[in-house]
Amino acid sequence: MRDRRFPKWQRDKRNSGKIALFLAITLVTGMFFTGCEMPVPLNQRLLIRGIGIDWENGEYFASLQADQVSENSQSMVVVYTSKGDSVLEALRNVTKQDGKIPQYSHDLTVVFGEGAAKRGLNKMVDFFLRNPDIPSASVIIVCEGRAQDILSAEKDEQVIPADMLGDAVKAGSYNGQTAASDVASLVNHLAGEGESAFLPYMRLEDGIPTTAGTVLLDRYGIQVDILDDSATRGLLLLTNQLKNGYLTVWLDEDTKASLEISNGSTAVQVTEREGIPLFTITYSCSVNMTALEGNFKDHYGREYYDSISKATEGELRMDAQTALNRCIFENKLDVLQMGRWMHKQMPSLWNSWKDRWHDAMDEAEYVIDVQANMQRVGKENTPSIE
Amino acid sequence: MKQVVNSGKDGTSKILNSSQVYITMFVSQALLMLTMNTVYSNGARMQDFLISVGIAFVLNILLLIPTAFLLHLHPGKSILEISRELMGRWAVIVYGIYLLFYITMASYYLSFFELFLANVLDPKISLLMVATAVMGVSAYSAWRGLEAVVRVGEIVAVILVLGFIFLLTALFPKVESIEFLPFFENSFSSYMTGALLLFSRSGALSMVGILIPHTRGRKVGGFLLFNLAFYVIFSLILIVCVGTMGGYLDHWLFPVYSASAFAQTGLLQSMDALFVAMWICGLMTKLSMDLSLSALCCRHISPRVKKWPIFPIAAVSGAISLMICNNQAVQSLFFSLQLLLPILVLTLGVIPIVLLILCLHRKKQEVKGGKADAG
Amino acid sequence: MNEMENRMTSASLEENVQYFTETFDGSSDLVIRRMEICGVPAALITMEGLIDKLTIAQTILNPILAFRSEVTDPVKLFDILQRDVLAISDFKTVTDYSTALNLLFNGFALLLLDGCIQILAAGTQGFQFRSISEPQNETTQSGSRESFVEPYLINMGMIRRRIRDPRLKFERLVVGKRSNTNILLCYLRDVASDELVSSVRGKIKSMHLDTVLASGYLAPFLQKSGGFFFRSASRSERPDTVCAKIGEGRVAIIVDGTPSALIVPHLFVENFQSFDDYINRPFFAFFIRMLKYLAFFIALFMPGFYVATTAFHPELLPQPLLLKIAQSEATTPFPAMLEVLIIHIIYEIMREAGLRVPRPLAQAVSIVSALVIGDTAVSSGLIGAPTLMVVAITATASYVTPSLYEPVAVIRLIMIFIGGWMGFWGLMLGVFVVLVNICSETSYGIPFSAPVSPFSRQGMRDVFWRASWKKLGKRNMKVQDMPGSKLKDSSSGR
Repeated sequence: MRDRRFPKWQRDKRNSGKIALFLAITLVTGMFFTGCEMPVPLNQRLLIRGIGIDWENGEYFASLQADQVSENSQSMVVVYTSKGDSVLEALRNVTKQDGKIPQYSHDLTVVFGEGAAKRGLNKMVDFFLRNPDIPSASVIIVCEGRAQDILSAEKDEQVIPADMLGDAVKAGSYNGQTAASDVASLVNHLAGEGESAFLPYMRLEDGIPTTAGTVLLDRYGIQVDILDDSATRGLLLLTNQLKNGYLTVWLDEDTKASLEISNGSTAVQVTEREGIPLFTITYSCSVNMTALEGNFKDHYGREYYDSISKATEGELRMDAQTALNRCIFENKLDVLQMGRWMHKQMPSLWNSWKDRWHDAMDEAEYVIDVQANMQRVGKENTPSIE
Repeated sequence: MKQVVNSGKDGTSKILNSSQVYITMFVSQALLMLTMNTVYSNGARMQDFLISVGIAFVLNILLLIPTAFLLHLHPGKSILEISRELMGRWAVIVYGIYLLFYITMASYYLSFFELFLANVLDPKISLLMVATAVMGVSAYSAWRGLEAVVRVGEIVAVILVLGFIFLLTALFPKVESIEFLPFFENSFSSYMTGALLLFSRSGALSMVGILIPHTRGRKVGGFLLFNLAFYVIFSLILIVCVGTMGGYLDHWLFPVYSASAFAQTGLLQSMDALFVAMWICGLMTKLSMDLSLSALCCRHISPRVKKWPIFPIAAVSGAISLMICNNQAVQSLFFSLQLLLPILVLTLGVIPIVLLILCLHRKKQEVKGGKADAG
Repeated sequence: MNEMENRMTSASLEENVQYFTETFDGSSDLVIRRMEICGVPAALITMEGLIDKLTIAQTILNPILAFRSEVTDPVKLFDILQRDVLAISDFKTVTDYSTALNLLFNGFALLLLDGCIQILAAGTQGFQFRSISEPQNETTQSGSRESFVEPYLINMGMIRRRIRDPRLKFERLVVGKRSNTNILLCYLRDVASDELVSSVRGKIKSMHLDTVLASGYLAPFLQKSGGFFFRSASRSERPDTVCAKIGEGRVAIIVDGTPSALIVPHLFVENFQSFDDYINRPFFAFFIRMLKYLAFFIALFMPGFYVATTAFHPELLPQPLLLKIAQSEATTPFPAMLEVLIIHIIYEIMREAGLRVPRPLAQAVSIVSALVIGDTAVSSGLIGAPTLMVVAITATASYVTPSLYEPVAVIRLIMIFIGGWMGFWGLMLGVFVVLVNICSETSYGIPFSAPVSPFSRQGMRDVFWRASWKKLGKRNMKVQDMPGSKLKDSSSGR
């Protein structure tokens, strides 16, 4: 009920007073209801670029590569190391050295050392899965030796930032040289039908971290095998990751062609032949010639179109076959997700195979078909092909 | 565009257009999209939730059929007014049930947001401060009036749709067909459970019975369009999230948030900030609407009451949300079908059916009485 | 005016002169010239400084002095004078002191004859006023360079020159018990809603102020106040802008002594419209409008967002930017929120000083400000460069929509506090509060957020983009046509 004893302007004044009081109380209680620490300034956070996990002598060793900001506003990349009984404990122990709160970068790179990879990444991935601070798109790498050495590698007397390692992997993936993998992909592979995964492999060459193939992991995340560059390309082809790339083929004894692959795509068709799954893997791409190294006096006619295409197809098929042999037949690792394709396209067949898939995947049949479509000859200064 | 100001007894007026109300409903329902997780899918794959979404789409329509008939028989009146007309003073039970319904829904959605903040965004945050701030702003918004809430809803809807378009555009190039598996591998009951979990959180549907009768514009067509648009966008979001991240999302409490953090457009490193902004705007709109409608119920209980119940209702909802966050038993009660489904079915299904029966019975009596008089 | 002054004038010249003398109590600006016209005692009363002496001499005194007649009856003499003798185009006959005083203050000369109860008031205004100049606050690239001036009659003329329609009406009202300030309501009779006009009129008449010296005195009575951040009455110093708004059914209020006009109703989206939009081509106008909306959001939320992300959510920022900010924070003594607040307050001090500083000192003050803030504060490590950058961009963005500067300046500070205490999610709550504030208010029955919400496709033709003149000219959209409007059309226009 409005109090009509008072004029409206007085009522409004009282009401506005009440509102002001309410807001003041809210403001004050808001200040004290935080119930938490005051916000942490940025310079009190440890800006982490990369994480390295090693396993040695029954302990986890964590290496954190972070930006250290000094009071004269200079920053440098430093590496902190600590150890613990678990990944979390090892990482948390780093804060004892610096006293800063970890802040993980968007471009975080995670490196697992050889020891950790051979122990089994399943035991470590859970930390990265549950921690909301770790971005899902973090690049994961397995390295030769210790992750600490990779993260501490220096160039021109400065530590190489970990995100550059991640960038190298991404660039290699774009060029069809490296298999890129992030947290999400790793988890999906390990938890999927194949229960195995692959990760890019890195080693130090002349003190500089360099991509050197692909590591194959079994269902426990244990490193089983390492594929070289050409087998890696085959792996990328089989897993529909070879969108672009570079290739060199020999046309004859003296003539070598450098080719650029683009628009690559892989289709997997699953059929059944007498209860045995038949996987037909078809890869198609466009090929452009970027350089031809031969005798400039020789004339190369149109017949070389076909030979280039055939040479490309042969090379790619060989790489794919190598990767297939290493993954399926030698190591019985379904990193190619063939089980998933079977589940997707022939679920009833998958139901009969799923329990024994790990042991019997080499009984299935695999056919690889590569189609390379020659696009254009290339630059003006290459020997002409009509 | 001229309107006649016709202030209804419950304070609403024909200034509102049905499209405005449906857009606000869309905003409220959009929270379901943002907050979906494997709790909704009853532990099944996120992909299978697409089936549940389709079932929920049909359930929404089926649930509102009695309401539609009832409103057709009483044009221009809301469920609350019809109950007063048919039940007299017993209508206070209906008002009480609706009030309880809105408090429950508000508490649930607020608690979900608090859990998100506490688990993901800022684990050290004070939930009391969150509840106070959020309900305080919602109460302010509700205090400004229903029209204000609906107008804000229109603007928030644009923000949400643009946000969804951004997300879809950023994630679509990363969709891999291999992430999709065949449907119907699980039992039908798991799909149904998922559908019911989704359906039981569709508190926005109550606006159809309470606000739509007092609006202008296409009512039935508007509802069908709203329902279709919501579930189409929901399905697209699901498809894109699953296609991008596959089974990885099953491990997360907030998979759409994880997907948005995964998305990159070049300009934005990740879209998690966009996701949070969308959620908060949608949540505030929903809570404001719930508080406004709660105050409306109170006004029906006692016509002398104006808007002040907004504040105690906001306080109660905030308190319940804190209980949900801090108590496992209460949390499982609210997050399962045990509480929300019965109260939704009671509010949006049983009450309209009972009123419909009473209405038909009265009409029959009137016809008989008319015949007796004629005889 | 008290009741005594409402009384009728006397036929006695001495009584009338005595009245004026007593009323002004010997004020030196009251000039009384006594004379005889054909033997009849007369007096000419003027206010020094309000009249043009040359006009008086040429149109009143000279003709009177040259006039010869046998008529001695004062009443007949009065008629002859006003009809045949005096060479003035604007005159009135007055029979009460209240009106006489009012006309005297408006630059009229009062001619009194002994024996005649009527007083002849001749329009001889000639006070000095500022010439028409370029607008200071609403500059355009290719529009008119005229702006309003202080005398309301000149402003009225400027509007009339642009709308040559007899249905354009100027309604004069007097406000202020002591100042008796003239104000004009300007509207198109067949376009403006009758309810709107009567509402504005009623609000003005219900004002109880002693003095009204500027349009700002009226603004609180004409618009919403108390809890509403934004203005629901706009102000413009451009006649062309005012005419455009009058053409849309709005009412303009011109206050004597103020070189601007108040316009009601005012909607939120109008803050982003400028005269240049209607001269430029639509695609460019669209670009500029988008820029304005972007600038508004930057001005309002960027500092709060900066504080929230650096304090609570650094994961939202890219790593290189994060590093730069961290480097800057390492060298400065204050936390981010305090830094931003300090810079803002210093900036507001500088801005206010720039407005008030005497011109001879302006250069010195600007050099000191630039050096202090721009260089010394950063190089001494008191303030970080990223913070300064944020505040500089924010300040610049504020001036893209100058009509919104007041609410933006205050809300921005609130957002900084919220961002620093609660983080990003708290900032979003603040955004929602601002949104509710905009959507919940009405301006004379029209939703302040129209036509965005409630939405109208027709109304949106001049919100985010400006439709071409071919489309705009097809149908004149009046302000009462906005969605959600409670105003009806003008009864004259039906």
